[in-house]
Amino acid sequence: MKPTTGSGAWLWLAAWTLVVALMGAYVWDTLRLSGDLRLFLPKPQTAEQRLLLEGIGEGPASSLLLISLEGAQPEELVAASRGLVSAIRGQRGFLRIDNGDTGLDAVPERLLAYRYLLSPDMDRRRFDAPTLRAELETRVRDLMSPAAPVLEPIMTRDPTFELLRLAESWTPQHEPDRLDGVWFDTTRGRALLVAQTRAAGFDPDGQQAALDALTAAFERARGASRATMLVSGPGSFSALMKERTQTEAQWLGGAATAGLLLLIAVAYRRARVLWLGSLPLASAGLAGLASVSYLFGEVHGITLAFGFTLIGVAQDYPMHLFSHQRRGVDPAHNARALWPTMATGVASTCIAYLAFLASGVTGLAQLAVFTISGLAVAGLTTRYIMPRIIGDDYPDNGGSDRLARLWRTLAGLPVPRWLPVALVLACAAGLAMPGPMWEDDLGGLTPVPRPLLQRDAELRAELGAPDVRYLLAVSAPTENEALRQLEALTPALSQAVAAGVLDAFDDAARYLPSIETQRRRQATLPDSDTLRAALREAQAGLPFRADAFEPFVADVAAARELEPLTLADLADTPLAALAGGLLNRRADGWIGTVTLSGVHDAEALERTVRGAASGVALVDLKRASTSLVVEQRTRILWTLAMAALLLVAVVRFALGDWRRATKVLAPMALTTAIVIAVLHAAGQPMNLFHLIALVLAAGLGLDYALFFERAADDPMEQRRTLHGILVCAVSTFMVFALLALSSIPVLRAIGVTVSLGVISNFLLALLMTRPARAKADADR
Amino acid sequence: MTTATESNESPPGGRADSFPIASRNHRMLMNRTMVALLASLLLTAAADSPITDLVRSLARPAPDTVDFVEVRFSPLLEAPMTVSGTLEYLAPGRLARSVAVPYEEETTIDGENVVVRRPGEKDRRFSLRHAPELRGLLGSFSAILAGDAGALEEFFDLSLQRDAADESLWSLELAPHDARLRKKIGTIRVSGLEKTVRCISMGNSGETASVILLGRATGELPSPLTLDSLGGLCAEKP
Repeated sequence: MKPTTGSGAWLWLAAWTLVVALMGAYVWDTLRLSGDLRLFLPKPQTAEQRLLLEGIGEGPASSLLLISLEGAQPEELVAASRGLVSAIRGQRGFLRIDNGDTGLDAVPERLLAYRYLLSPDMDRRRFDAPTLRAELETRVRDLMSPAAPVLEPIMTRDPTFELLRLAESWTPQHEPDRLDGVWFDTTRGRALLVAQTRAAGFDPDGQQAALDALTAAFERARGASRATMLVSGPGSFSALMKERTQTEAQWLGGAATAGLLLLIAVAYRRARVLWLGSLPLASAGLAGLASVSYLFGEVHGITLAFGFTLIGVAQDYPMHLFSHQRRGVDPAHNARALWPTMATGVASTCIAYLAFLASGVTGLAQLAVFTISGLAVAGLTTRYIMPRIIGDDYPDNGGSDRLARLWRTLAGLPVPRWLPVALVLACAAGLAMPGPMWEDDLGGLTPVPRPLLQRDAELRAELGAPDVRYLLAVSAPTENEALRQLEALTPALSQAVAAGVLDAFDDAARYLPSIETQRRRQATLPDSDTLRAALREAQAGLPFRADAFEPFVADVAAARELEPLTLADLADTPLAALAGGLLNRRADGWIGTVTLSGVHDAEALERTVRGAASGVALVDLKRASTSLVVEQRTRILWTLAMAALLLVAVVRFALGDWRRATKVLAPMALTTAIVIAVLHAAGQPMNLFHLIALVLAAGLGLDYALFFERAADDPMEQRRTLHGILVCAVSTFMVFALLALSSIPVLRAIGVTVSLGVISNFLLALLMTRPARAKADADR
Repeated sequence: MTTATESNESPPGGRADSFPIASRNHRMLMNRTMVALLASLLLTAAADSPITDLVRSLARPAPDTVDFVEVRFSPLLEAPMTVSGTLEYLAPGRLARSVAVPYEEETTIDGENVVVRRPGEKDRRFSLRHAPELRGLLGSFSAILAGDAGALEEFFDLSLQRDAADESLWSLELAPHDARLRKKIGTIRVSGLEKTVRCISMGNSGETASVILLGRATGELPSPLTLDSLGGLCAEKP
């Protein structure tokens, strides 16, 4: 390299590299990645929306994995199902795993003493002589039955088999069919299981770990059979999408980098352009990360991925510098001459991203901070540091014959005056086509391939897993109040089940009765003397020994003295997962969730619920998510509109008059309309990521137009400008065209939108913004 | 029966049931038997052990029905309690136990699934998987009815005794492999005459035990009703 200023250049380069390295170290040290999708969702306004967002991250339904084993003989599937359960049960990553095969051990040892407080059957009977008589008569038969070895040991402590009644009351109300005791689907071709992970559904790494554990356990459990395992549910989707996104982003990124290097090598024929040109981009990325890290404490994975995509624009800045650099020209002079145009581009792009800062969505604000700080750093380093290190030994693009020919050809293209009008009309026609303009489904943000969703719905129906759309929410100031309201709701819901309005429901009160209910049951327990007398009477004529049930008397006496159980007491028992998932503390109280399975008539359900208890709401998560997405979009569109006005003002101010400003802004505005119209005509409803991509495309278009507009009357300068813009446009198009090939809908959305935008922006800027005298030049 | 047993544990390399069991008092006899057996082994290369032979001889073609009396001893009970009815062997792996006196009850066992029916009550179902005690127990019934010694050996160590005075009276002891299970249900003793099972008793102590007498009526029970007196009944020729 031949720097113009000798060793000074090396010093600057060393200093800059050092700063970049230090920034890299800081980022490495402080960067905490987050995968929580909620960062990209707006703040919830209604209770329904709040529940939705909480449900998305940590609700009981979102950490359920639905598992199906298939492809082998039923008996092999039964064996695999059992093997899987025994391998997974007790693993730290899982709160529970069920295959329908629940036993007597469902009630944890620690809670045995509480059986008389927990069992709903205690509401219906007393431990008086007639009740005990009926029970003991049955116990005689149990003792004489083949099951005696199992039943005899528990009989003395629990002659009413309260434990069995309790375990029975906890089994799901709506269950799949069983084959040999294990859940199967109706066709008997698939063994079904359900697991609940400790990791939240939208924690892709935690879900991946859980999936790996399941796969490993299944490999052992299936033995020599050809059984295969399919896992479905939000958690498996998030792990799958993360992996696919990463894989595709990697090879697309690799291909794009290779192409970019090739392009730069061909365009500049100087190896140092490759790495000197990457310094502003590297600085931009690190500065962006450091700012987000500093301001937000953590960086969302999506911010990271899209942020680097968005600041790819920064790569254009040094390219313009290189394209205009030639022997005999001081790089500092060159940079100074380009700066007003570049600065306008940087500023206006930043303004567009300001809109996201004001969107009220944390993830978008992160994206805005990342992009704005990154672009600012890239612009400033290109202006003030690059000139000191790049030297001036570059071929003059102004003297290139090929560029001259190309420029003449392009400048010779006719520019019909009706072009803008025709384009506007075409856009209007495109927009008039039927079809939804916007993607209102929250799922559109993390789209899961349709076949997977279909399978998920099938498994969910077979397993009677909670409905993903409807649930009931009970809000109350205290944990116990919430439980009381849930209890008040139970009779009405049971009636609704009987009437066929829904298949089943589940709530925390099934596992943990309110304190009042526990006290009431406690109060029905007789004291020891009364119980002994009742037992004596009940035992008359039965073959039991007089003192056979003393342990029962002792247990009842102990139960009378117990403090009622609360959620905190359930810790470390399987009940903690069941009840705890359905009863959650919020900032302003407690929310009890009633999960519903197989809702057949939402309206009837709402009517039932409204009359039954206070503070209860039927939550339609689909409605909530739609309203959330619509509100978010409305807000973003408004801020974008404001940003657009601000942008017009900035361009008008920078260029000095309206005529020039219009010439610069028109291609960008038209392009935006064209892209929207094309997407709509192609039947693609737009989501948040399309909007981000549109802003990116607009920023690029503005840059092209600004540089074309700047190209003075000097034909040499026009060629240099054309060279710069060509390099920028081709490289950007290449990167995003690759993204457009992706199978991940989000990446595809961005890729299609930006590559369309680049083509349209480049052509329109060329046709509409190039200097008027260029035509004369071409004619000459 | 007053015979003592030699364990059926096999010497290294030998098959678990490849040695005949005989009374310690008749070691000579045993040796002679062994010689005879070895000789017969040489003659018929595929001959099996006495246990395998015995169990095979017990096989019953399904369906088959037999009357039974069951006596149960339990610390919960003032006195041993008796029920009677019929046992049905419906098909391999399927059994039905119908109690007629002193109440009505029908238990069907189909593989691992057990259904208990009592008049006026809802059927109760449970699975043997959650009750290893029952699985071993009922599994042994099925295996004996099928004459399948191999299936028995999956769960139990087997040892065979024959009455010193009358070789046609035998007693087969089933000791669960699993130590926990052995503690819970103890050993199962199946005794009979020639090709007929007459008694099945189980229980690890005098306090908790159950004796099932096949092909007998309640009236034939000894008095006083104790484990010993029942044991005597099982060991006698009718």
